[in-house]
Amino acid sequence: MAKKYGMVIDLKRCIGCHTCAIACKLENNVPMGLFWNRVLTRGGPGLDIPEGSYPYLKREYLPVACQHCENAPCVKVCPVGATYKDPDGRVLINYDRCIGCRYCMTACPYNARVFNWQEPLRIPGHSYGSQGVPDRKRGVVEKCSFCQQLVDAGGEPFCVTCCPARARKFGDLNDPESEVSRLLRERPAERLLEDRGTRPQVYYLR
Amino acid sequence: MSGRISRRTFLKGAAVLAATSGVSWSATKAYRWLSPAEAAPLAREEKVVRTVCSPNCWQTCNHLVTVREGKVVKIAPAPMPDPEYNRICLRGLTHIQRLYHPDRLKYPMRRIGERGEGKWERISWDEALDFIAGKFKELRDKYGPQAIAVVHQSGNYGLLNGGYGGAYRFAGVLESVLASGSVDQAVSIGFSSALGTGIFDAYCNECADWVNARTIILWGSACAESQINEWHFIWEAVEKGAHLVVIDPIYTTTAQKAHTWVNLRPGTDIAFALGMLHVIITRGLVDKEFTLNKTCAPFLVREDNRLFLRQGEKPLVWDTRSGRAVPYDTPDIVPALEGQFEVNGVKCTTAFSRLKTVVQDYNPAKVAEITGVSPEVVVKVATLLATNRPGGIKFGFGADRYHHADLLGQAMITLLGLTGNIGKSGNILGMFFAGFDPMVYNVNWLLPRGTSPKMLPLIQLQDTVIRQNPYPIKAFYITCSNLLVQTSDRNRWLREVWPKLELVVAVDQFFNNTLNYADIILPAAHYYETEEIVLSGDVPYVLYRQKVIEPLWEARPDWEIYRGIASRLGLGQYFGSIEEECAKWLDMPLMRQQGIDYQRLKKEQAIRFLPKPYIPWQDGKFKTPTGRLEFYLEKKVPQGEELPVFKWPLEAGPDSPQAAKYPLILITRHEKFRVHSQYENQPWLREINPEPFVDLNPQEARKRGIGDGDLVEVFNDRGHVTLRCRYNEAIPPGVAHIQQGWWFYRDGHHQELTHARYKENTLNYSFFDVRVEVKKV
Amino acid sequence: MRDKGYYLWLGILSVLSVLGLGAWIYQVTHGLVVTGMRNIVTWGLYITAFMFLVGLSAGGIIVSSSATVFNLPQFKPAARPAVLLSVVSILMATLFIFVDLGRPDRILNLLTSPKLNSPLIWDVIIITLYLTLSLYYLYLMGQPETGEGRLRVVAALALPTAILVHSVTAWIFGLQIARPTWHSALLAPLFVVSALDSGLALLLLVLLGLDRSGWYRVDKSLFSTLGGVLAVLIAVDVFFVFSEVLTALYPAEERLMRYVNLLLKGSLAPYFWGEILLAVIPFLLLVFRSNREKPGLVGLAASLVVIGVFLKRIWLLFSALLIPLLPYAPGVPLGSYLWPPFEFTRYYPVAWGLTGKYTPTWVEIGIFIGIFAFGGLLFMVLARAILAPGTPKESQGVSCGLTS
Repeated sequence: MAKKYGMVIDLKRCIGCHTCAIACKLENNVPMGLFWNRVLTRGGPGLDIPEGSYPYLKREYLPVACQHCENAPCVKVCPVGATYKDPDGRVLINYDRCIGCRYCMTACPYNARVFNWQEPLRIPGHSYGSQGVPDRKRGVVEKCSFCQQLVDAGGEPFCVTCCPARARKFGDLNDPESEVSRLLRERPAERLLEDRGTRPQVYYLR
Repeated sequence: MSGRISRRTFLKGAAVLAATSGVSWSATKAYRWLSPAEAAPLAREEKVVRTVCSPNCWQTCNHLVTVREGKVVKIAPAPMPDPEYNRICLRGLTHIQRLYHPDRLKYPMRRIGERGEGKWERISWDEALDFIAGKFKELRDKYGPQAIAVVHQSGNYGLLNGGYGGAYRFAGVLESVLASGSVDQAVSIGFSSALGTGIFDAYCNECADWVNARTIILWGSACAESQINEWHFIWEAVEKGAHLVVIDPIYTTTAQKAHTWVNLRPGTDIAFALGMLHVIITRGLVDKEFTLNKTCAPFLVREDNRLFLRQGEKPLVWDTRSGRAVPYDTPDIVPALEGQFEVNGVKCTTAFSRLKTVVQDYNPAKVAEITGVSPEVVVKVATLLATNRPGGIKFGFGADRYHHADLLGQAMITLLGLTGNIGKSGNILGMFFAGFDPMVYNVNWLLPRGTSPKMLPLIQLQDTVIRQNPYPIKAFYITCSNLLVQTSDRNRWLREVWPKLELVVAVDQFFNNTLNYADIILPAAHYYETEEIVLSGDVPYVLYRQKVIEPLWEARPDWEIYRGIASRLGLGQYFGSIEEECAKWLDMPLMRQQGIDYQRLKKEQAIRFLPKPYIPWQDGKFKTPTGRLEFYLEKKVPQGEELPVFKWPLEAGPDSPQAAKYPLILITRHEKFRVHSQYENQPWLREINPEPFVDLNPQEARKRGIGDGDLVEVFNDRGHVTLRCRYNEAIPPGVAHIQQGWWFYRDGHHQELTHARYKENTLNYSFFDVRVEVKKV
Repeated sequence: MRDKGYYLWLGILSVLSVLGLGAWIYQVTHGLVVTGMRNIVTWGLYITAFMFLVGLSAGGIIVSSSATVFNLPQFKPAARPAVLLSVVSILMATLFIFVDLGRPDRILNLLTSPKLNSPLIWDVIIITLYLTLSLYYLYLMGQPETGEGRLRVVAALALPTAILVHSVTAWIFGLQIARPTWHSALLAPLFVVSALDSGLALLLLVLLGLDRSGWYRVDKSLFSTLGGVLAVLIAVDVFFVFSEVLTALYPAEERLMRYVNLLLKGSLAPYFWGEILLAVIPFLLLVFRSNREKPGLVGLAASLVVIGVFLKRIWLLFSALLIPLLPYAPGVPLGSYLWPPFEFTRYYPVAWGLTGKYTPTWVEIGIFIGIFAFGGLLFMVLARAILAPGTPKESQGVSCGLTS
């Protein structure tokens, strides 16, 4: 059977440390001002701010990157086929083909896609991350690829490798014996904006 | 910027691509010329170097660093001998920015304007070292070697280049003053006294064993932020059914994860601990077996001078079988745990009885009154620790930063002792720290024969310079420390201490808020640019750091700077080659026993030196003179603190004279974005956490007419800081919170607000024992 | 002298067009960072103008082709200016898409690797078809020998194409599950009716202008008739908007209300209520026959409608874009990063937005003005060439001769 890559993020484990966000920037040569992967605070109005009134408080962290939807709205709208669903179930971008119309960005319910509004600015001044990460120039949309360059070489996405809380698991959702499949059987999981019907391949355990 | 590919490279790339890919190629081929630089890059040569990141989060993560075309391009967690110790964090991942930071200090520089004015001229290393050595010589001749103070903090755990290694050697060789410590040690002092160990010895079970705990109390510890890589052990215990208690006035991420969050009033931790002791004693939850046989509980205490009743050196206990006092280690006795006795006309009671008296007032209702926590919570937490075993207390340094924090440490170890939570798998004793234990902390290496620094607790440095007594300090050599950001009473440093200094040398990587006020600044090499042994933090390994790249610009490892200065003073022989010195350091019994030598370490880079699992005190023998857990501290009888007692802190208590004028307690805690003040200027971290805020509970802010995001001044009699206010419900009313470690503010600094008053027996900075008021600017 | 005025206008519009071109070159060299758009509000003034112009274009041609298809002779004089207007508007709309692209150099990818899934490709197809038909229609109308039957066939094709062109434009937005205020079955009808009223209103204004210029005389009664039609269309438009808002308000679904509140009392309220006002006032003006007989008043009403529909394009576009569906802090990385002054850096740029903010920059406004100036220029030149007497083929259908 074809692969269907997916990710399972344990929200109980997640401590909102942003290591995944930074790891992603490093591995994928993401320039300043852009994040493919970010950690949101479900709670009050600001980062790390809880909701409620002291001491009756609540807060939860929610790491969000591309959800690699099965029913991906971005893939449908791309006029030139630059965004596509690959045979392993990933939503990927052909950066050489993107015309920068940003239609996919309006189509994405998760705001997971970011655009190179300016000449990519990198600190340090050189390109970083693994070899095989496609180069992106000004004027194209970019986003998480489940670290295609690592996964295709038999590895796992870098955010999974680095997560200090070991909250992230990656694998084949079509393989019933994979860890992700097992976790989804054993524990209740949610997907983001499930009512939108996009059928994300990123699951959140609670 | 590199990453651009020349046209020729592109053409080759395009040819390869054209040959290998067929499907999507044809569609865009015709237009490919429009975007030549976007052809897939060709495989370029890479090497991967294993190295160590070693700031004072003490997690000493091992990194695999990828170097491509001479430049660091990737950092990943390195595989450890035990995979549960594979680790990295958001800060470690930003080293690529720290290395190549546009703001990095590139050359030695000499101040040409006023101190703090920021005018510098570039000088050569020779000029710098000649000047420093010349000035040192002049001062030594005129005032003696103690005219120089080597000031270090915890910026690097490297053996040669770090604060706890090379800096000692340097100060020792110069016979200068070595000013260090005084931060985050009070709780440990109280805690370790009972064990008879040093304050940061390996007295705790290793982190990997914490997963076996059933009750975990995180006390003033934002573990999920400040020791990010210890968190998963805690959480694995929770997943296995452990109950997690977090004691913290602030709703931290750690508190958010707790089953029971004890949101006590700041500075009342000791009262809560006494309340727990009260519950444990009065409800019969004491582990009698352990308490009688492994602790000092049955020792007889004289009522006249409150010292142990002794026979020779040995404390006596009351043997209920024979009805008389006998040495505690007499075989076949049944000692009395409590009671009043008369031995040779001296009225005595047991240490346990005295403890019972001390805590008798602290019933849950009274504790509730002091701490603001409900009485049921006191009972619950105490009962959990005593009955849901194994359990443990992990302390952070939140509760440490009040005047009487040592008493809290005493209370914690007493709690663990009475509940028998010591020496078993699943016990947590404060904090696990492996690298400073005497078994691996090679003092002979640090201070070879003939060298002797004058040790000065950092907190006494201000007074010492101002009074020029006991040492006539005229020069600072600051390394591994952002002194003016990480110590208290900044205005006193700048107004009273600095003018007395003829020379301030600072070694660092950035123009932080301390370098600003130095006379000579020297660019230090980054972790990745040095090679050395690294003192381990909370991992049971001896570690070796490989050099990843040569130091950039003119940066130099600290060790070479020491050598440069010392050799100009004719003392260069103490600063040998890396290989020589590392081999000498490894020459200690523990390493010899395990066959760990330089060659092996250099090859393996991380070698376990502790048994697996590491669980100390399994034999119930402690390092105290009696071998018992001596929670009754005779040495503190004069202060009336032989047992933990509750005292309000200096300023933070409601009885403080400042309370009326300055109603808010200032807490400056660690957050995930920095390790102390390191990583402050990392662009990726600043993207997420761009500027300092004072966090106020909205209730407090509104009372002062302050809106969310308003510019405010936080002030007290000592100083002020100007920054934006952020409404934050995680902060209790009555508290103002600023993240620790920010270098710069719009005006002033949070360390202007703190004070350097200390308790004689701890010599510890009480950073949180501070009162302030906030007003809108 | 009319020629003098004509060349003066020609000059002004040329200068503005060139300035717009300059602004676009600036944008191309610096990237879209010079616009006010960022990662939350990913579309701005250009797409607003695109929507608006497609509407204007479709509206004009629907009116003119209706005249032929349904044989409404009184509308016939409006037909040629209407088609001309449509052609110019659709060209301008296309230009707005072009300037919005991050990689304009790859625009041909739309033709070389089109994906039929995308409503944007539907739009490319339908606009191409529409433009071709319009030009042919225009050509036919200019040919004196063209038979009525042939015209009717083309008009019969042009009418549904025009309706479709604006429906497809609506579907670009309306089929998006991620954008609550767009995602509505009513969006296409709403777009069509807005197209009709704004297109007709603009046609009225153009006819008035042409009439004034003397190039193309129009009978007063036409204004009155078209004014009446406009009133009806406005009413239908407002009815649709009311229906849409009521459908949201009544269940008051929490998430949708966050967007709707933007319109009712949030940052978009001036545009929303402005549009309502600019529908109600012209309706009240036009509903009275006596008013409709005054071309000045009809012109006033028409210009209010055009402005009102532009306001509607604004609130339609931004109401969906301003609030990310995941409303959690710190939000979305905005995507621009200015190199901070590193030495002794105190404050780094804040890179996030919890909600979108958008103000067009001078570059966008420059390009906007430039494209409109270019459109005006094109229309003037073509109108003079095609509509104004003096050109040999132009003697039919002009109700009144012109003496210079």
